[in-house]
Amino acid sequence: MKLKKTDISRVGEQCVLPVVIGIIWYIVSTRHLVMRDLLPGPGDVLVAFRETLNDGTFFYNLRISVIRVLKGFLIGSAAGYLLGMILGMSRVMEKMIAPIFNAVRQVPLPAWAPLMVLMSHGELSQVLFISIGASYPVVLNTFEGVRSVKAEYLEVADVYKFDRIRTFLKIFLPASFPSVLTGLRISMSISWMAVVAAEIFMSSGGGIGEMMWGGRDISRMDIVFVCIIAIALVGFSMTWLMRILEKTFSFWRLTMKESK
Amino acid sequence: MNTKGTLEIKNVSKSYRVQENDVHVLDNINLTIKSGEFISIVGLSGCGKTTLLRHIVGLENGYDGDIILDGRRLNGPDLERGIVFQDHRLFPWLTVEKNVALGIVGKSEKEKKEIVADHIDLVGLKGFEKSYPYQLSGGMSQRAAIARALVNQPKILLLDEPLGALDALTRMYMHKELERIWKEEKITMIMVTHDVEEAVYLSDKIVVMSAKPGRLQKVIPVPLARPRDRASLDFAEVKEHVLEEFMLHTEHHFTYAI
Repeated sequence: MKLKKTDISRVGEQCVLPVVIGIIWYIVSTRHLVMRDLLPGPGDVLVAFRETLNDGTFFYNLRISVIRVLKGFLIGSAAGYLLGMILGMSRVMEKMIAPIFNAVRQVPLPAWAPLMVLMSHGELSQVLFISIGASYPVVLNTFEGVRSVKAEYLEVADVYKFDRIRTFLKIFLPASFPSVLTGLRISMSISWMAVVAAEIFMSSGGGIGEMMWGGRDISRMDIVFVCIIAIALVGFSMTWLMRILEKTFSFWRLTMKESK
Repeated sequence: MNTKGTLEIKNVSKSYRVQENDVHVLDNINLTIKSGEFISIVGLSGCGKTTLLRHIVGLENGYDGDIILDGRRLNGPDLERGIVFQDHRLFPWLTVEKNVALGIVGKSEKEKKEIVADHIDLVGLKGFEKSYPYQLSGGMSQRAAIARALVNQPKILLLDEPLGALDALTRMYMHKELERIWKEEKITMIMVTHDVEEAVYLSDKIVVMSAKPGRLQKVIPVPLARPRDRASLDFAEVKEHVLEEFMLHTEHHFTYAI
């Protein structure tokens, strides 16, 4: 049996690499190994962070991005869930829709930007752009979840004469749920990446991506760095939250593996 | 007298076509099971005993001959026939209580609650209503599965190697429990097993099947008083009798020595 590590030592382990990177960053920037305009030091970034905090731009833009990503995520994952369920439950629908879906899925997300810009140049196009990216993992994982429902459970449904609705509510819906949550987690992290891309390609109405691009335009690399770090940290926390949700709601699947 | 649950199996045959060859899984099976009887079907793997059981419950379709329950030819599953599978097949996302309630249709919430409570009590799972299947041991899961199969008050309970995955001691304990439930519910039970001792302990009759093609080899009555004593001479004799059908008995060259 493996010994369980204490939380403190685990957090310690996870901090080693960031600290090392921070030290290297500090040394490289203070020794002026790279031009200061290109690579600001940690101190410069902190100053810039305080500056954007004080004039309110940081939280203004972050808030816009978070709300925007939630909109895109909700629309995209709801549509993805519906499509995944339809494809999973019906072989006919799978034959009809799956090839088109798989072809469309090959188009890289940024390639949708020109089309979105043509449609509208604002919030709507950005949200749609995010929801395209958000939908794929939910479609695929919902489909997988439905298709991997054990035939043994369906025999139980047969024996108890479940009708289609009862079979769906009692078996397909709960059995696929853990897999759907995995899809939602991946979808959340893609959405967060997509919001930054959307704000760069279709900049309008603010957002952390637009703030970063704006920093680049006026050669303020320190602001760019503030944005990069913020994007990384927020994305990390979102995925972490989703992972907790996933574990909570699929307790029966996770523990089943251990006990059987 | 309760006459519900009389099962007649008449000239039942089943064959599959595998690469241009007909494989006879069941070959002309004839068997009558009286209401309230406990029957075990014993046989080697591949003798068609599970196939026969699946036909009785209605999970397989298409066979020659007739399977008749109380005068009606069976076609597809029905709530009057319950089944307990070897793997308990409880839904892992539902509590014991909700799993047991799955089988109930057309009852008010209040009735439902009572039925579930009664049956959880019957199988001795009181206090575990809110537990999830992963929190139960193998024996407890199988108890819950038995409760689920009984909530519709079926005339026949089919048991497909229900205790096969349990350890030897738990299995013996479950034999007692199964006998008790059978007596309390007064229903016909048909169990597929390859544990001869289990069959002798529980059955009124033991049906021995042979493989390739799946045939009914012999029906052995077990005229022992219940509860049965595994250590008794009579018990051993019946067991030996069943084992003879599989050429597994010990040849007694000397009946006594001196």
